[in-house]
Amino acid sequence: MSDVKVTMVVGSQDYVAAFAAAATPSELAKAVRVVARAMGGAGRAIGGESAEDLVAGAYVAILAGAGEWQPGMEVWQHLGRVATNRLRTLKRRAARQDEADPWDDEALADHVAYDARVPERLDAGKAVRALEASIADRGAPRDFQALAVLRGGASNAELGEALGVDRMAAREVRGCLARRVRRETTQKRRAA
Amino acid sequence: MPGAAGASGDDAETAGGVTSSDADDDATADELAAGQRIAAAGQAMAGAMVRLLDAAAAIPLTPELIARIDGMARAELVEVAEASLGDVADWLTDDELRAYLRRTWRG
Repeated sequence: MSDVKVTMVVGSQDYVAAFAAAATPSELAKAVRVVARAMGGAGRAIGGESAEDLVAGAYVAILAGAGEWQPGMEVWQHLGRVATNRLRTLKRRAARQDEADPWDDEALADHVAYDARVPERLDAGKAVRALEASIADRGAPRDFQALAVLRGGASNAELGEALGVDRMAAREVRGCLARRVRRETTQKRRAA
Repeated sequence: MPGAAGASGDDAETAGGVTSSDADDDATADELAAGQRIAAAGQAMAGAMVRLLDAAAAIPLTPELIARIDGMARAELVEVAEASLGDVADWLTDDELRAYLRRTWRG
């Protein structure tokens, strides 16, 4: 048996296929375990992301070329590194949010286009509805329109088209609304 | 490189501060179920990614497009990559995003 290592071009078709073949359910289960432990235990979520979410994200990130995996490397370990690296980013963002009011747009954008699988995002869904009612009461038609468009799962380009602004401006609007949604969610949790 | 950040020179079996001993025990039923769900979704994503790469490979990457990608700020890189990667686009570094768009995006 030769010990020649195969080096693949990161992100190539062969690379994607090789990683998908190597990422067996048992390797992925190991990665979920190590990430859950890094999060402080199974069942925990940080920034709305569970250990399973983080490993699933790491899988896609690696397919896209993150972290330079190569055949022969431990898949669980590589997933763990990419996922825990993301975990550190989420923790840093959470810490920044605790320190001052400027909420992080990128971390919060998900809370508008929320995913109903995750309980924290279900809370965010309630917050979106509360914010929608609040905006309607105050007569802010542009914000109301933006929120309604985003609740439909619109991209920044689609939001920009609806508001008559470019994509970058739409991204700002999404971030601004997301911050308000996060405040609603946080206030409800603190009150509970 | 994102993957290098958690590695420790003292323990080659460290992943983001978690040692290999964490992965040695038998997986629980929940962990295995999660692994199966991720594997199924990952296989589908890998298939889609290969199709995307094949489609992009059929269209020449022009110097103008390379210059456009190289000139993009992070927000734009993420936004373009989000079309195929979703939220995970934000996980990649700027260099990884540029390399990804060169492989998969033709404007």
